[in-house]
Amino acid sequence: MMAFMRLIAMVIVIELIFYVLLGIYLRSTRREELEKEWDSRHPDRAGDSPERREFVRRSMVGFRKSLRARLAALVLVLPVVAIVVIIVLVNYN
Amino acid sequence: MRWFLTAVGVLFGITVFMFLDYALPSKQTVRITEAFNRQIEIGRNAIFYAADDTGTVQNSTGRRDVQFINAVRTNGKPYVYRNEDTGWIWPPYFKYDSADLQAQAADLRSTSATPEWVSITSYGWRVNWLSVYPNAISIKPVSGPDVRPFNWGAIVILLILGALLMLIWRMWNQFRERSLDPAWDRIDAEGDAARGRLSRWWRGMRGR
Repeated sequence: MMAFMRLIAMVIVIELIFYVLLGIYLRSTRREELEKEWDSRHPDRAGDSPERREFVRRSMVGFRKSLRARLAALVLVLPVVAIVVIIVLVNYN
Repeated sequence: MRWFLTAVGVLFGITVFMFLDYALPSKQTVRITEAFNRQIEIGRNAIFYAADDTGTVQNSTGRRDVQFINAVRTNGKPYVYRNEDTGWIWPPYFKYDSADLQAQAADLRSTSATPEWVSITSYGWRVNWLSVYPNAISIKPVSGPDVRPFNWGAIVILLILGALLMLIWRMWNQFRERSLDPAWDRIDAEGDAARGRLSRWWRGMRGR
């Protein structure tokens, strides 16, 4: 039983670390996209500027609820599914 | 320095390859001759056996009762599997049906006169001089010695590992491009500015 608890704790910790890192990555790619969009909309004011930063900040407001951010939560589910699949294949097949 | 890094890289590559070769499942078509258990001494080769808390019983002198499956390969050479639970720990096979597997192995025993071929999935190595045995995972009867089922498990795991590595690679690149490099440029620029101030001060000191 101790070993099982340890497995659960380890899986949760690793998943959470990866979830946070993935969230940072997705936000970073979205921000880069937005900066490029600003640059293409305002070719005369391309590059880093307070207006562009404000545009990116306001466009990022709803990011938490976007499909991409929600799909990142799959890293909390998929490893558990994989473990269950392995258990079934190894022991009940 | 370059040869040193090359050597470290080659060693790292060999280690990764050996690790995958040990931990990934492999399939082999064999004929089971015996399924039994015996006490063995587990000493310095303990890393190649199941962990202590996976339901194994070890007596006070360090001997453990381990189930074994004797087999003969298609080329006529012997091969021996151990049959131990992996429990909830490493390697992550989560196997706890070793008793059932032993019963199945005993059921599929055959002699060379009337051979009955099976495909055994296992992980690990057979190292004679270290008394190391691969751990059997599952047994499937096959129609003949020429039948070699495709090792889907290992391919799928390798593909998943590759995809994961790709993702980590892209995440690291994004981090370097957006966070590390700008920070580095800033430090560099500040250094340049400081050097400019320093040389102006020096020129001022020299009265130019």
